Amino acid sequence: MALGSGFKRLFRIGDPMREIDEELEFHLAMKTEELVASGMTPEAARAKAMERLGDADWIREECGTIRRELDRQREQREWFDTLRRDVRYALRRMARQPVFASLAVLVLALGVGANTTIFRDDPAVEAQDELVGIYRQRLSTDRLRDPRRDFGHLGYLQYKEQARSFAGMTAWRPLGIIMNEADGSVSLSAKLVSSDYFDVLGVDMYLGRSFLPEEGRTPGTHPVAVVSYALWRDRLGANPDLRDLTIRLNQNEFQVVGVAPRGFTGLDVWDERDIWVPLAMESAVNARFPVWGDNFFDDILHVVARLAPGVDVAQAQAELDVLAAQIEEVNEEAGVRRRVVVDSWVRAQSSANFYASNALTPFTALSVLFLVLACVNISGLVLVRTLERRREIGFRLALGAGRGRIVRQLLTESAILAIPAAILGLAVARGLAEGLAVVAGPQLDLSLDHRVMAFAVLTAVVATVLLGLAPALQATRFARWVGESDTPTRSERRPRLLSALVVGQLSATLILLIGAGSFVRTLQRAGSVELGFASENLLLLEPDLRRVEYSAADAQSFYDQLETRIAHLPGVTAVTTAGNVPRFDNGIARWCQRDLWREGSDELPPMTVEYNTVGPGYFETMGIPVVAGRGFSRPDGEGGAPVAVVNETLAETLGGPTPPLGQQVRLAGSCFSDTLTVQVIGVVADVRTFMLDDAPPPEVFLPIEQTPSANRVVIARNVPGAAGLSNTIRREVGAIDPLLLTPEVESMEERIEQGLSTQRTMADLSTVVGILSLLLATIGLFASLAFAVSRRTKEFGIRVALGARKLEVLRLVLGEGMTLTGIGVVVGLGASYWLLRVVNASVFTDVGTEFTRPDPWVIGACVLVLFTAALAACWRPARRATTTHPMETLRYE
Amino acid sequence: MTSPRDNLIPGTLNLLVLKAVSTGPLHGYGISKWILDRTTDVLRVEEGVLYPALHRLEKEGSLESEWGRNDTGRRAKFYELTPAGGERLAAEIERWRRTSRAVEVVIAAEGA
Repeated sequence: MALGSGFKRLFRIGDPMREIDEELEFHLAMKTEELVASGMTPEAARAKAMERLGDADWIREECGTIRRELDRQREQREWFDTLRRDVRYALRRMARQPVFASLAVLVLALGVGANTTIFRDDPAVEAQDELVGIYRQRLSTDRLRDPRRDFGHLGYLQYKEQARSFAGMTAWRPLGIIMNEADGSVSLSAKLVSSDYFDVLGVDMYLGRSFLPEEGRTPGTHPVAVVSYALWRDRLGANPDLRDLTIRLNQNEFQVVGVAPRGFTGLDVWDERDIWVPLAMESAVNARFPVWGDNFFDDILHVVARLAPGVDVAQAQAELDVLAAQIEEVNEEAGVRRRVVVDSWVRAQSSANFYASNALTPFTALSVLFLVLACVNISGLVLVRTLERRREIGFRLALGAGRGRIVRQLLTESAILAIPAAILGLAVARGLAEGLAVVAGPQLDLSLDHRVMAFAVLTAVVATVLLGLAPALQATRFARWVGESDTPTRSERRPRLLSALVVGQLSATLILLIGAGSFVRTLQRAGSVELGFASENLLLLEPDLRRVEYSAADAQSFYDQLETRIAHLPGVTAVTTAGNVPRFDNGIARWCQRDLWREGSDELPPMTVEYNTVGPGYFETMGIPVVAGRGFSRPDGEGGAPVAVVNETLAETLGGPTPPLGQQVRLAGSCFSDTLTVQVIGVVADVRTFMLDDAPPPEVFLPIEQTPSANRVVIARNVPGAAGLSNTIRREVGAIDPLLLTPEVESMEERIEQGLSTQRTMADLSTVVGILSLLLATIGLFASLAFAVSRRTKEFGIRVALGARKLEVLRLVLGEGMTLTGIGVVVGLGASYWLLRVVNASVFTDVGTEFTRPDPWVIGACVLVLFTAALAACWRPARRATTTHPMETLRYE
Repeated sequence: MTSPRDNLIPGTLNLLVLKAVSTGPLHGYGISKWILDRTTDVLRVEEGVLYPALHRLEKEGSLESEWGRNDTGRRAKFYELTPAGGERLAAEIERWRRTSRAVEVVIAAEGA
């Protein structure tokens, strides 16, 4: 009992009720003694004392309640006291190590900032995993892969009506569009959508309403539009009252009925200058290749459906297999059967025609890797600090500080790092966002909203726990170090954990560098790719004759006149027309493809080729070299023999090494009413047609007069610096037919520039991430390597004292650093090879494209950069090691 | 059982306890004896009431307690006045004086 209470007294713990009993018992004993002294018998005295005391139970209860409250109060006060002490202690420590503190805060801030910038919110589409993309694909394919195709309007309607597996099926086509404003025009990316578009995606409007069913029924009757939040905010005055808000699109007035939620960009990526218009209004915005109507085969409408409840992709595919057998048979096209493919939208996104969505996937992978790297680095920094403090922590453990107490203190210290880092991180994120906005233009809305703030706070919290916990757990093992000197024992000279950490850091950095590097390189290659033609000094003009009901003959005469007039303008050196020109719009406006059979192989499945009709002088005007045979000339016009020119890719397929001149090929396909047999008369060099990063597809050219079309592009080559030519050309159109809408004149270079803007943005973002990660890794390496070396200060000092030459010590230190770097490089290379395979296998299966294999130059450059950074990180500690005076190392003891 | 058996004028117990302890550290029995010795039978305290008062004063920060030994070597809990307790004592005394003066005035007026 005595021992027990003594123990209790020492630790101020124990049962409060027992203390109260003891206190009361003391009182009774003293009172009894007093009464006995005044002459009472002990029994009587005791009874009297009890009586005088009163109701003992009541007293106990009362005192117990008060005591418990008191204890609670004390605990709270103690907790705050401890916190205050921890904070003061941590701040004092950091004040003594300002470099470490600022480095750690900086790295964290970069990590938080970069990730806050990178992890932008997704479009507000509901339950994306229920969405499926629907495509048409040929049943059997030849050696040229048959791409996934989209739908014509009729096809879409037929499947939509008959399929039962879906809660809804929507179709849309992207279209570049001009919004006419009082002070000029701005180009928007429009989506012409079926009226149920927003309902199928499950998107609630920010303002107003989405489209009504009747707005999708009759063509040309409901000029309404939904605009993106960014467009409404930046260009339309951000007025919440939509009643009087009208806009002019391609010179036609539209009523704005709704504003899409902030950040929603549709199922296409990253273009915030968006506008949605009912597909039925197609003609009012002068879409090329109108899709509305009875055409079954146009490959223009993207179709996405939401699975009905309880239906999975496989079930939907089974239903569509049956359905396609009926529908496609009715619409069979020149003996070519197609099947219909259902694919989860999330997966299909990367297989869609859009370059940008392909680019986003590796980019996201990069940013996640960056976050991992940031955590590894910070953890490393803190671990290094904790290792350095093992003696202090050991002492404190030995002096009776509880483990919990130590852990709490380390967590407090990391929180003190994380909180300013989060604040600074937001500043970094803001800076990055502004920088990116400058780089990317108004396409990216990178303003910081509450979700971004929440992400930053979350990162800070997670970082705190990660930072503090691992080192703290490690620290509790330090008790055994008490009394030892700071000199590492043999076994821990190169602590395994630290080495592993350094290697981990290095390899993660390498992966990130290679990823960012090859990504940037892919994009660069796309940007600097040989176009195959002379893109400078070309002007493009697309008059729209459909609105004035030109017959084929009238159109021919119109273009003849226009060509003549333009050819006579001063500054114009050549002019021609074509059904289409290279667009570089990320495949949005893919034109008609053809099926092609080579001579004598009618039984075999055809190959899919791109198709264009061009006027005489097209190849000369565009600057496309004719490799074999000849280009078109006037006699190839109307009534001439059916001839064709093929590009090199197709020529190789047709004739191998010998040009297939004179070969007959048969052409059929969606935009043809009949089958054509043509003779190949020439081969031209490959030209990039759609996406700058794509390999040129096989392509066939026919003379434009033999397949007259009311819509053509007029291409004029001008002498450099021919100012004002655009306006002169536009006036010529008005001079021929004043009824025509005056068309825009665009330069080919502007068009290429537009096509590149997405790639540019991606490349810039990746470069930023790459630089940030290198910075991060270098900081981490500095800390880890510097620590690893400083632990051996004494050893080096002794070596110097024993006559080791400075060069040897230098070599020793650098050797250690470089060995770790070497291991890190090997691990990193292996890991990035493996990651690449995993990414390509999981994301890019049965897609024509994949994450480009990093070329040796990129890998070499990355390894070199890493070694340089590591060398720089080793340099200072190495210098210190060589200049360490032997006496100094003794003083360390 | 519902109310403290406090035969004192309400509020005076705290004053008495604080005054007792102001002479130096005392255990509960010592405090009760000190009070009884000085008030004889006029202010008769039911002794048990003392203890909740002591604990409450400790909780409020007017007293500090520590286990120690009395003259005969027996373990006892000693109470000591804190600086805050000293201030409180002064305030209680001041309050008491004001009250009694006021009551005095009333009584004197009635007698006149």
